[in-house]
Amino acid sequence: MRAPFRALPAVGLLDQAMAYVRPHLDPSIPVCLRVRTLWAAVVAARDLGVSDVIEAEFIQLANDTELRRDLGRHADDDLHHVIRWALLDRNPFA
Amino acid sequence: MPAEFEQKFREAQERVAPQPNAPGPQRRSAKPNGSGKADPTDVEIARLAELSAVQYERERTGAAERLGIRVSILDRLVAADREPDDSKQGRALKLHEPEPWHEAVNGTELLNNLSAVIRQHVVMPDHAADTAALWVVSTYLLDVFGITPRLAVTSPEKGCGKTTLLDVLSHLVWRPLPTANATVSAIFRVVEMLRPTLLIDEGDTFLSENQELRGILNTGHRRGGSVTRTVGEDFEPRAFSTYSACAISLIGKLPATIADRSVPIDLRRRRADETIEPFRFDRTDHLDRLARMDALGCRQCRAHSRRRAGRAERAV
Repeated sequence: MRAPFRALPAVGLLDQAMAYVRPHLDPSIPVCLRVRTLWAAVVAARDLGVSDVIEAEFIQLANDTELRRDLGRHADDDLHHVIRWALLDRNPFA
Repeated sequence: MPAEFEQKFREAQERVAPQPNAPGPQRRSAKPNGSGKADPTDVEIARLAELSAVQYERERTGAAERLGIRVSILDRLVAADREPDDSKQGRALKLHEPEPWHEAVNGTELLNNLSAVIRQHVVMPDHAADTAALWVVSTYLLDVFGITPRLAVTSPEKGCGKTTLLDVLSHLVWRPLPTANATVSAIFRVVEMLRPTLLIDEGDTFLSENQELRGILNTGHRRGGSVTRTVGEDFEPRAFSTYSACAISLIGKLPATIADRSVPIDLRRRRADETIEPFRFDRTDHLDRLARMDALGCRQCRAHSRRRAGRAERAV
């Protein structure tokens, strides 16, 4: 007898990407490396969704992993800058 | 997790990894080998590449013997290591790729603005401007579509704005290559190399007599269209893609086979009571801005369609 058809859970590629990146943003890692990791993750994920969604998701990820808190006073500006440059595949660290 | 994402992620991480005391840029041939020292052969080739043509001619035979390779092979290695030769006639092709806009783009607004800006410079019916706007967007999405219709800009007489329309389009489309009376081999080689948007003006002067070029334009409207040519000294057969977006302007009618593959825009002379803004090459900021929005909007569109396709595949 054939096994009944079971639908796979609908998990977006972007969600999978975020889950993959999350351990790389652990608060125990120095902030300068975590910012670079965040940039690399956005560069790699920029084809996985529309840019405003990607930006919102990664800002949320930065919040969840406390990267935003560790960046200090200008965290919002810095995060937006890094993410927007990543969406354009530009290196802000050069 | 898709392997593609992991690979991109790792590559991006390497690009921004902090590298204290990183060495400056090096010539390709002088890169150190696994032991940390530059390969003597590479060093010698780099040295030969910096010689003048006369000096190299004097040294090439002895150098080839020393390195234990044939002279013809040495010639190729040295040629590959030399700076690009810019002493040829004409100038190198550099096609404009607009930098994507920095904020999310609303597709409807973008299309409306494109249509409006085209009508700002050329007198044409609303539906024709909308058609041109949609065609502009399609030039950014060639990899998504399987067919790219030709934009046929025709008029019954001169002075109707065909060239102006192509000028405006040349600031809006992806990798514009304005050309008139191009040879067949130039077209399929540049299409293979750069996949530009061809903007062919004055089509009436050469298109009807040039069957080979018509063949290239006919095959190029569909993905997979290609021509085969033999290349090199050993006449190796190679395929050249002809798939690229193309706008053609001409007085009169297009040949039937191209017309079948085209969306027509018929222009007429402007009446005295119809006003337009003259197109000036030094005042194109409004067009460049739209092109940048186009670049980002189409990337959003492409990503969205990929996500949907991915979801559909997983659901199946």
